[in-house]
Amino acid sequence: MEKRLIWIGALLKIRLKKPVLWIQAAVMLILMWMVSSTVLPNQENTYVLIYNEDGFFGEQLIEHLEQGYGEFIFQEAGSPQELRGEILAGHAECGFILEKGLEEGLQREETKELILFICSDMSNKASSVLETFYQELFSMYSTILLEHRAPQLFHQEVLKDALTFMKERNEYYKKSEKVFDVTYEYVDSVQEKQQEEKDVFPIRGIAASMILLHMMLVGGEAVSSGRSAYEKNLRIWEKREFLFWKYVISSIILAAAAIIGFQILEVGGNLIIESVKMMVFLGITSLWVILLGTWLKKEAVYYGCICPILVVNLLFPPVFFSIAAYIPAVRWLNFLLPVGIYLKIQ
Amino acid sequence: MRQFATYFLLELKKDIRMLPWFFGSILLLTVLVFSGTMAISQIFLKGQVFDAITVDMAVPDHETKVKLIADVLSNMESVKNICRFQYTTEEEAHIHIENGEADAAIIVGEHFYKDMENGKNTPAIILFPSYDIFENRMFRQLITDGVSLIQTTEAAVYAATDAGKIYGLKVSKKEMEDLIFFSYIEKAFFRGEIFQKHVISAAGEYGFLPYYGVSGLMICLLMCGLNFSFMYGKREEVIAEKLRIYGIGNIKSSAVKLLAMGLILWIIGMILLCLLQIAGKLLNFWEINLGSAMIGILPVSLSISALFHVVYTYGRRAGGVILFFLNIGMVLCSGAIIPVSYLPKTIQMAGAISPLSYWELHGAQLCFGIPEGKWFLLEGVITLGGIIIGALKGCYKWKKD
Repeated sequence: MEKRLIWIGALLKIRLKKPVLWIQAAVMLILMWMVSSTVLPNQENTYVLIYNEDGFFGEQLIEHLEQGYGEFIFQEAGSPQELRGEILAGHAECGFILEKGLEEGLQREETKELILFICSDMSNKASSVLETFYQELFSMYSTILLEHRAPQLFHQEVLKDALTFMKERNEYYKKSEKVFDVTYEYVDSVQEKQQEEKDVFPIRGIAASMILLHMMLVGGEAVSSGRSAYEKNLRIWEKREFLFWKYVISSIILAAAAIIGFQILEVGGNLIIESVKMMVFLGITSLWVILLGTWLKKEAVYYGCICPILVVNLLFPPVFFSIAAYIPAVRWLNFLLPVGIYLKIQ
Repeated sequence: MRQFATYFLLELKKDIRMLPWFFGSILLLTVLVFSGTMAISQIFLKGQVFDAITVDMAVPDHETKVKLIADVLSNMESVKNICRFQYTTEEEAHIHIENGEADAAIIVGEHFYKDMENGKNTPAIILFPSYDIFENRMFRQLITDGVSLIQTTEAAVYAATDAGKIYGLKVSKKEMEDLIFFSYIEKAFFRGEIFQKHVISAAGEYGFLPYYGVSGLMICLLMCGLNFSFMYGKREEVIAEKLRIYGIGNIKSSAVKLLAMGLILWIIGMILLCLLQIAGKLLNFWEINLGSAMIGILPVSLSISALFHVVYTYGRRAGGVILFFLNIGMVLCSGAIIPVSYLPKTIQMAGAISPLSYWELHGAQLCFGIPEGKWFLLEGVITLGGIIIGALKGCYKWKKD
């Protein structure tokens, strides 16, 4: 036990003096912050933006849509550029630009391409939004249609009064229960939809990948420069154990920085539990790198394999995307990867 | 000039001999990066597709007109995107909802169509399970929108009927109802014409798959840089000192290293382009302008090598680590994995000055479009800059000595 504590102390002292390690920790924190600030488009996004270039009719339409009680939340955009930017950034599902001449076109019943509808190729509810938008527009357009049909229905001398009365009754019936409606009923259902494996852990994944990379680079030093004089005098199992502690201690600073990063970015839980999970990860990764060093003894081959191994650890575990949700076999592969194991114990 | 050419050929020969040592890792990296980028692009593309729900239609057998209307509705784009209908009985619909075989049900009464014709508004019943999922809420919204169109039309007919009772109609009641009903139905049926649809993409003008194909290519070329560390060991510095005697100064020495690295990267780039073309044709993803891309990738390779050359010259033993972190940073902020428009503004600004953004743009134009001259100029400047900056270190060391 005393021997291990001496090893840990000595290794820690050597590592703490290396400025590159502190720079790596800072870079890792920056990468974690970058990743935490990135927002991928939400499949359940229901924000829709509208920009009015027309006039009063457009303003009324926007008001009706904003006050509506549907699933989609309509908001007015400050400019067409803002509207496009928000859609591209995934903050809005899609948007409408009410072009100049909208009301005029509706009055003439020439309704071809009066409204510009902008969506991104990630919009999966574009057609639904169009239906919700149109039903509100249709409700307002109904008044114009009645005005145009009235001369065909009523005599000239009563036209004005009949039209006024008809418009009032139209508004009344639209809000009344005398028109067609549906009733909604709910049935007790015991079957819950199965939650797919779509959870991702970008911040933890990036931190774990950086720690894995660092440990592999330390392992590379061991492959290229060989064992130190002290290590050569150790017995076989002591050599392995020393290497284990060497790799674990080499990444302690990065691990501590990662835990602090989790707390600052509000993805971390209890500090003690996070520390235990991190120590388990360091242990598993250390063993993994020892195995790697045992198989890849040539320096050029070892360094050549670092990149592919890192790429595998970034792609297959649910760091940025959960490939396992689409290819179930990947779930089992993740048990063989250090980053995959770490994200599994979250 | 002869010494320069001899030195260049010797350096190239030495570097090509090392190629087999790391060719295996480059190949593995290529497979992984391309698999990864294609998987990511498929995930993005899958995100465009709504998980359609199953809706039971409980329509009595004799209500053929209702079934006809349901068939017409089910072929509308907005309906097809959200749900698919299956015809059942009312009892079966309840059972399907309870055990999860259906996500919703529409129950239509016995004389539904006849009641509608006679002006009696028999409501349809929409069944939902007790649990709430987003797709069901979208379906409910669709029902609400459809019902609203019917309500607007009905309200107009009733309003005209009421006005007709007081002010008298010029036409018969049936003619009035038909006039209003058919003009409203026409507007509702051709409602799509009022919109001019414009689709914008975070992946640029070429689409997600080509975007990630080019990203994969650039990431592979960047990651190859880690294999060139052997060109900058201590022994190389000693050789550079000796070469000065033979008239190979710092600029020429720097140029030779950069050009040798660039040519090897060009060879790797051409192989990757061929693999990209084969994969694209086999999977029906894309068609690359192979000839022009293979020539055009040379200036890209040279400018990428300029980056490697500067990092290794000044980074020395830590050059590999510095290059790796630089590559990761560029990949994250240039949109190679996540499109730039999804990144926060600060990172977008960093991405705007990252050379990887321009290499990707140029790469996409080379592969799928018409390359612009300004990228060649930019890459020329980067290459020249890399040679000069790389040479400066040698000059500084020489002056110090």
